[in-house]
Order: sequence, then structure tokens, then C-alpha cells
Amino acid sequence: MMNQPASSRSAAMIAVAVLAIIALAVPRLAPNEFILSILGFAMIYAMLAASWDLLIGFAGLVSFGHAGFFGLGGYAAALATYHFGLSPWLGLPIGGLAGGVFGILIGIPTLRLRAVYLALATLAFAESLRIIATNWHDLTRGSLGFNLHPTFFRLSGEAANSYYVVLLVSSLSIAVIYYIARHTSLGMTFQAVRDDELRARSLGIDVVRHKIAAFALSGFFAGVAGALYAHYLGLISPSELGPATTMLVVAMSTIGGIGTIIGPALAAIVLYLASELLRMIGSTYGQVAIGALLIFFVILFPEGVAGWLSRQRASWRNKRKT
Amino acid sequence: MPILEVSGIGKRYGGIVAVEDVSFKVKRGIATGLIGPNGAGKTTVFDMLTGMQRADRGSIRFEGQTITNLASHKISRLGIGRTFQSVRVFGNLSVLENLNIAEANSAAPARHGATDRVHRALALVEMEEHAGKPAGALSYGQRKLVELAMVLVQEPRLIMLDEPVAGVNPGLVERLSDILRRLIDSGISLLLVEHNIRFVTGLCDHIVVLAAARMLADGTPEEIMRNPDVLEAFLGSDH
Ligand SMILES: Nc1ncnc2c1ncn2[C@@H]1O[C@H](COP(=O)(O)OP(=O)(O)OP(=O)(O)O)[C@@H](O)[C@H]1O
Ligand SMILES: [Mg+2]
Repeated sequence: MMNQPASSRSAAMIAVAVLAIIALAVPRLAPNEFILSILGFAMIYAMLAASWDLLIGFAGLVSFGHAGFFGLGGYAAALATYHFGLSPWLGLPIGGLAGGVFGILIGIPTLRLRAVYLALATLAFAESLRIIATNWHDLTRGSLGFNLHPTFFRLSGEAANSYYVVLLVSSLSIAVIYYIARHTSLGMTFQAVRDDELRARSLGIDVVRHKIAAFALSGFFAGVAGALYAHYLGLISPSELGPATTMLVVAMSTIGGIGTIIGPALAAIVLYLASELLRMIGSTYGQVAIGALLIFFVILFPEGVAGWLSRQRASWRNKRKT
Repeated sequence: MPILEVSGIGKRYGGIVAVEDVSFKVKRGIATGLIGPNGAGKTTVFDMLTGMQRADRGSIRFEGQTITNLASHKISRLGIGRTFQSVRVFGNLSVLENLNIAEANSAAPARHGATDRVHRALALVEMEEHAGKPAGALSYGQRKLVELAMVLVQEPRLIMLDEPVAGVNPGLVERLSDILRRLIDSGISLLLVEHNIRFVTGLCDHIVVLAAARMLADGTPEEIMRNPDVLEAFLGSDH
């Protein structure tokens, strides 16, 4: 926040620095391909959750079709790399562009819809993409998924390098999303539109254009996340476009604290690692556990963990003042 | 040339005639009052002038340019600012953020002097010490001041105020009167809806009276106060 006291800002800086050092050191501490790949996917989900939060937490627009942006970005990156022989690096901006353009295409017809209807419409968009990906066999190889595209580091034994790529791209993207949301007049204007459209319009704000911009930006970062996923895993399949992906993102962001960007990103990492752990233990009830966790957090921390923390900090500061 | 020319505008909500054939002019550099009993159609006139409601008929010209039914954000960018009868600020954002948003979306946002502009507006309404507070946490009167500062920071040439002193304490009425007087002196044109007649006659050189959706009178404060139709319209209501 702009007017945060210096002490809490430096505390946040220290926390970020510690996290960064740990993240950078993991390949040395635990040179285990499996651990690295799980951490990489957690980072990708963190980025996806942050992109969702930009849309709902700042522009006030509900998307239940975020898997659509994610999967579309993944397919666009994989197919473009394969069919046009492009470098996998170019897949990232291509995936982002696909997500961004799709965001505009979804945004325009659905802008006048209110929350529930917007949620349903975006869900329907994502579902139609999933059906196309499943049935357009010649292009996507159907439900098996697409895995013919070259990825960043093809040789085995380069897990650490791939991990660093994912770490770099996702943390950079989360930082950019945070910066846009909290420190630019665009991000401020999104919040104005979210809080009071009429007031916004009377201040000269083109509400429609800003909503479309929010969809485009959110779709862009979700698309980059999808592209990163397709290249990191070497596979993109229709199931990534499904509602389970979206629900995971919604749960992560809600638990982390909508409207904070960092909260959803951190919650995504924790939740993803937890769900993988459950799977390793052999629990078939992983989804159920995530659902139960979501209910638990929504009841105990209705503003998310980040919201709860900032309220605790504020009341602690007030107490100290008096 | 008047800054605003309203000719024959009308508005119906279903079967309700909210405004019928209203015409008046707002002169540059003075305050014009728009008065009338509750439900006379004053706010509806404001909503049509700022593009928030479509006019069913008639035309509106601002500085010679037709703005009838133009999108409200475009009207705002031409140089018309307004406040709302039920004060509207962005409650989740700080006072400073509210002003920054207004500044960034004004017709000509300052490239470098943005913070100067924002602080001048804050100083004018004497709200500097509240800059970091969430606007939603302020008192009603303070939110009215923030709302006015948001309009001022955009440097509009015409400011429309919908009941600026309704529900505020007498001290603040005085302060608002001073602030508006200073705006007029600096060349800004005002259009003012207000039930506090003393406040209106103290500031306005010209008054337009609406009653039951129609124009009742139009003249100097002296002419209006002497007009028997006006007296009857107001005595006939709860004023
Ligand atoms: N959105 C709306 N839908 C239906 N009727 C409306 C709407 N807005 C206003 N009206 C009606 O139009 C008429 C004029 O209302 P308006 O708010 O313009 O009056 P006003 O002069 O501003 O009154 P007040 O002094 O109470 O603010 C009233 O009869 C009101 O009930
Ligand atoms: Mg009114």
C-alpha cells in the first residue's frame, strides 16, 4: 500500500527475500526432479491465482472460466511451437496473447451481466473450449492431450534449469500483477469501477473500456501461466480446461485473501503442495480435503488469511498507539 | 454566450413524468440555483445533463457543443463535474486515492504536477490530515468535502452540486459557502440544487424554479422571492 508504515513494508521485504532465497536454493538442497516439478507447478498456480485476483479483487469481475484462459494459453503455446517450429520461449507471449484476446472476446458480450450471470457465462466459455479441445482431434489429439511440442530444456537432467525458468517467469508475473493492481492509476481505476460505477463514470472513467482491459490483462497472465505449464509438463490436455482447475484457483484465492494478489499466490503454493502430499499419501479424497479446507477457511477467515493478517496488524498498531 | 443551454428537455419513468419541457441557461462565471419542492425533477435534470439518464426529448449544449445523451464519461471530460445528492466516494479507498483516481481520469491529467493539484484540492477543503483514511470511515460532512475535492481536482469549468449542504452542520454550511464563493471568484460556473434557500440566495445570481416536473420561474433571486407562484409552490409543499 502507498501509505503503509515503513516497518511493515520492510517486514514484507524481508519475507519476500527469505522466500526468494529458499526458492533459489531448493535445487541445491533437494536435487530431486519430483520435488522440483511439484514446486514449479505450485508457482504456476500461484501466478494463475494472482491473475484471477486481479479480475475479481480489483475490477470486481467474477470469472468461473479461468481454466479457459489457462488451457487456451497452454494449447496456443504448444500448437504454435509445434506447427510453426517456433522457439518454446516464444510460446510464452503467444500463450499470453491468446489469453488476452480471449479475455477481450469474453469481456465484450458479458460486461453488462451481473455477478452470478457473469460467472455462468465465463464457465460456459471455458467449457466450450474444453469440448473443442476434446473433439478437434486433428489439431489437439483429443482427450489424450498434446505432447509433441519441444519444451525449454529437452535433455533429461535439466530439471533445475526448467524450475528456474518457471520460478523467474511466475514470480516476475506476480510482481507485475501486484504492481499494476496496487501502484498504477489503471489499478486504482479498476477499484473505482468496482466500488461505484456511477461515480466512476461521472469522473470521466470509461467503465466499459476498463472492464475489458481487466479481462484482457487477467487473461494475458492466465494465458502465460498456461503456456508455462504446457512447456514445463510437456503436455497440455483438455482436463486442464475443466472446472476443477478453476475451482482450485477460486479456492486458493479465497483462502489467501481476495484483493491482495500476494495472498492468493501464497495460498496457491501451500494448497497445491498440500494436495500433492495428499495424493502421495494415497488419499483418494484429495478433492474432498480441499473442499473441506475451503469451507473451514471461509467460515474462520471470511476475508482470507491476508485480509485477516492485515486487520490483526492494524488493531495491534492501534493498541500500541493508545 | 452561456456556458450551458438546456432547451425543452423531458423525461418519463414509465408512467411518471419526472421532467417536462424544461429550458434554462447557465451563465458563465456565476452560480445558478435550481430549486423546487421534493420530487420536482431537479436530480433528474442533473442526470440528463451529465448523461446518467437519457433525455426523451430536447437538447443540451455545453459551450456551444451539443452534448445531449452523450456518454457520461465523455461529458465529464468536456469539463463538467458533479456531486451526488447521496454523497458518492470510493469508500474502500483512502481519501488520497480517491483524489488520485479523479486526477488521473481528468480531461488533462498533469504529467508532473499531479500531486500538487491533489494537495491544492485537499487544502481547499481542509482535509489534508485525513488523506490516509479510508473515505468510507469519514463522517457524512467530511465525505461531502472529499467528493467536492474529487470534482475540483479535475478542474472542470462547470460544477453541478446536488444538495451540497443537506444534512451537514451549520459550521460546515458556512465553510462550504466560503469554498463555493472562492470557486465563483476564480471563474468557475456553478449549477446548484439546494433546499436551503438562504444558502442559494447567498451564492446565486440567477435562480431557476421547477415544480411538478415543469419550469415555474426563472430570474434573479429578488424576482424569484417576489413571485407569487413560487411562494405558493413552496408553501404548498413541506417548505
Ligand atoms: N430512477 C427512477 N425511476 C422511477 N422514477 C424516478 C426515478 N428517479 C426519479 N424518479 C421520479 O421522478 C420524479 C422526480 O425525481 P427527482 O429525484 O428528479 O426529484 P428532485 O427534485 O431531485 O427531488 P428531491 O428534492 O427529493 O431530491 C419523482 O417523482 C421521482 O419519484
Ligand atoms: Mg434530488
